[in-house]
Amino acid sequence: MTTATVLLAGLLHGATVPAGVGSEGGVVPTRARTAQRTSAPAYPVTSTLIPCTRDDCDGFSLVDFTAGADGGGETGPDLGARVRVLDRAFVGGRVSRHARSLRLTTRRLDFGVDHTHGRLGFTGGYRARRLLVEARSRHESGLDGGGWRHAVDAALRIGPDVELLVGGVQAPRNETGLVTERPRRRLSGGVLWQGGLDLELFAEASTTRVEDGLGEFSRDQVGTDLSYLWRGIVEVSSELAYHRDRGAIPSTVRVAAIAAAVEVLPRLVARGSFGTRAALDLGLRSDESLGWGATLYTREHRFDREGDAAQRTLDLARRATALGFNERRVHTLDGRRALRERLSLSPGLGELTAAAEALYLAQERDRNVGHLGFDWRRRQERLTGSIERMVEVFVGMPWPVRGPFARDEAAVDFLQFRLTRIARSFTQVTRLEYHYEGVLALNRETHLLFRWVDPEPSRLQDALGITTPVKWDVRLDVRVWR
Amino acid sequence: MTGVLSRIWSRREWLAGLVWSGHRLTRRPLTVSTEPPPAVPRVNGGINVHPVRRLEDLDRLPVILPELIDLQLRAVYELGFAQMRTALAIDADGLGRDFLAAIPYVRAARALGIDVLGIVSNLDTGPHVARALGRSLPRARVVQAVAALFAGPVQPLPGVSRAGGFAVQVLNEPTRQNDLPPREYVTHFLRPTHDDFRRWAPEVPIVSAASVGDRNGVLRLREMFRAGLERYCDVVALHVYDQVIIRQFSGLATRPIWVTETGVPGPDRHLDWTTIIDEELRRWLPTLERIYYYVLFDLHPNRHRLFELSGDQQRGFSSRVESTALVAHLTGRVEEALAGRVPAAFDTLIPNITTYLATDDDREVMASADLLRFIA
Repeated sequence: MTTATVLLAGLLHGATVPAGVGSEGGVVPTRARTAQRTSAPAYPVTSTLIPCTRDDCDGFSLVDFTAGADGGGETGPDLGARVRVLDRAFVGGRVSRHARSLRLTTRRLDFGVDHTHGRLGFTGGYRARRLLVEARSRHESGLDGGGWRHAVDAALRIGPDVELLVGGVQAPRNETGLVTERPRRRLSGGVLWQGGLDLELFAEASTTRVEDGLGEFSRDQVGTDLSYLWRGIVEVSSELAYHRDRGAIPSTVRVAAIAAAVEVLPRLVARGSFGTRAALDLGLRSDESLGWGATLYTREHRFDREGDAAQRTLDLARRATALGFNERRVHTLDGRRALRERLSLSPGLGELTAAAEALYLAQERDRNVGHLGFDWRRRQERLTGSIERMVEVFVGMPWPVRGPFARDEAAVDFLQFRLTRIARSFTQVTRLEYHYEGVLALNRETHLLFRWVDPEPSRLQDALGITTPVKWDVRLDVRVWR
Repeated sequence: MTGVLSRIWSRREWLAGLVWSGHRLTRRPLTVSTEPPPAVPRVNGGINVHPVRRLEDLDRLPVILPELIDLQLRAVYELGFAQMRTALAIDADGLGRDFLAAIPYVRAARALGIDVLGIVSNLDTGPHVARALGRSLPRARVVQAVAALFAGPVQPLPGVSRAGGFAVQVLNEPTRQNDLPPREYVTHFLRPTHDDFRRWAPEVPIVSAASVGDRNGVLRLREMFRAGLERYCDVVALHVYDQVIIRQFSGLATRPIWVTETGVPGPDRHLDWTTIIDEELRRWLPTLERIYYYVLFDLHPNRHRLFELSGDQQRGFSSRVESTALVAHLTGRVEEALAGRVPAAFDTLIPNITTYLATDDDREVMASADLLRFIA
């Protein structure tokens, strides 16, 4: 059997096919898992709250809906909707206090226009057989010198797992004299290698003409991000980059970071991270961060690139690419949803419909249901002379409601609350900021979100008379087929 | 400009004129029939002088004890320092007691021929000076008050060849002392203060704040340069407390450089430090103009200070040399420059330091700024 046949067979079998079946040879070795359940879990609300979602209303169906309000000094609405039109495109719009946007997405084309914080912007994209091009233009604010800033990114697929990336930025010169560091021209080239599910490598080199208060200087950068998942137990991510500035103030900077998450127990994940930024020519670590945390889940935990859903994402993306629809796999909820949406717009890809549906169901089976979590992070920044300490506590009450610490493989997210305390100590004062976030998951697609941010002004804000009012927002989000 | 503001500013300018007229009258040299003895030659660079007004009980009256001013200025004069750096402090009381104390220090020093660098800064840990310079209305009032009270012409004392000049430094180590990031210091504090001085007192040279004198400071200073520091000052200031960083400053500045603080803890190391650092600085910084040693007196024994001040209001105050080797070295340089001539004694030139204390008109200028209304 050829690889393509095996792959297709696996895809067409959809939800009934166990993880790994139908995939290519290099399947990620993961621990033996308990048998996958196929029945849908129960949610508090089972009916569709918004009309024209799952049901097609004369060729139109609502796929996204957002209604809410936010405040922070002044209060404003936040309304948005996205509609699937005649199986050919998605059209969406959003209106909020500071932004208005409109976006059109077809299988191969993407076009958007927005007016955000008084600045007009356009985005466009084209997805060819092997090429993905995205272009963005935005009118800069007066403080940034006005004029249009253009950026283009392109990805050329040279194999099922490998893409070559190029990018460029062109911005107008700032004539105002108030210059914050920003790129005027940038050229970059890189490679993205997604080796199955266990390894992802991104490497990039770029050269940038940067404008700042001294005029322009050149900044050359080379860097790599590496992520490795070992047997579905340990996920390690690392970053290593060098920047070299050539100009009036030459300098060399090295950025190095490593983070790891370990499944200590099937329901318990521990995390740790360490990162530094060093000015090599000064022999000085300018930034240093250290963090650790842990989360207890109600049901067995899956990493994003582990399990049935991850395998099906990989298979689906590879198959679509083989059929001439260039798709990068993105192992997040939104990334998988976008993949399924794009593929659903292609009349010629009917064969993938069942696979997309199977992925949807696999995501549900592989869901993580958080119960208790704790994170601590310390970051020292020598440039601003500050030390930031962050503590985050997370509590989740799953559905159906049970006693604390109970294991329940049928559980789904229901009520979540997150409290974050950020204390940034400068030499003279410590600035505190509290974040309170709550999510009520009515069902897989419908969430009620609440956020409250209570910041103290920094000395800089105080000196400049900048007020820091409490910021809040409340939102009902409906994401159909999420 | 509103009519009210216009009237206020006119009044302030009028008051400023009155203040300086008064100074010209009171500082007129005595008419003498013989050539006065020369002043001590200014051969020993710069020194940092805290505008000490009391040693303890800072809230008690009188808020300024002139004896302390006398002791410090006497040392500055007799040790032949050419420049003095002192704080024009804006603290919780606005243009209050610490700001008031700077007036006799600055005026007397300038009359003695010593160039004065006044730091618009704070002596407490409060936010008031940052508020004063970060907002347009109070900043304009601070600039006008500083110009009126410190920057006017001064008549040199007899035997002094010329009066000392006056320059302003905008904050001191803003990241450490005021929690201000380097880039924002340049864009939101130095730049507008520079522009306001250009408007109200264009003759006053503007000196940028230095960052701390270690490798963190180099990092911050680079950021300040990248934000356009040199566009908004006449002189770039550095602090050097670590010998290694000197070469890292090399090539940064095109404008004149003043090292506004340098020193080392431990009196037995002071002399070596000043000698070595002087050579290193001149080797690596071609635009270096001035070096200010830190410090004439502070409250920390056996660290940086040259002198110890002690005593109280009842018994009187006295000074004791703590950094004996460095003081002997400085004295030797003065004697060498004098070449056997007898200089004018400090007491002859300034028999009574109280004549330099703020006048009612000065207090009126400070009060009319009404700074606390904007920064409290």
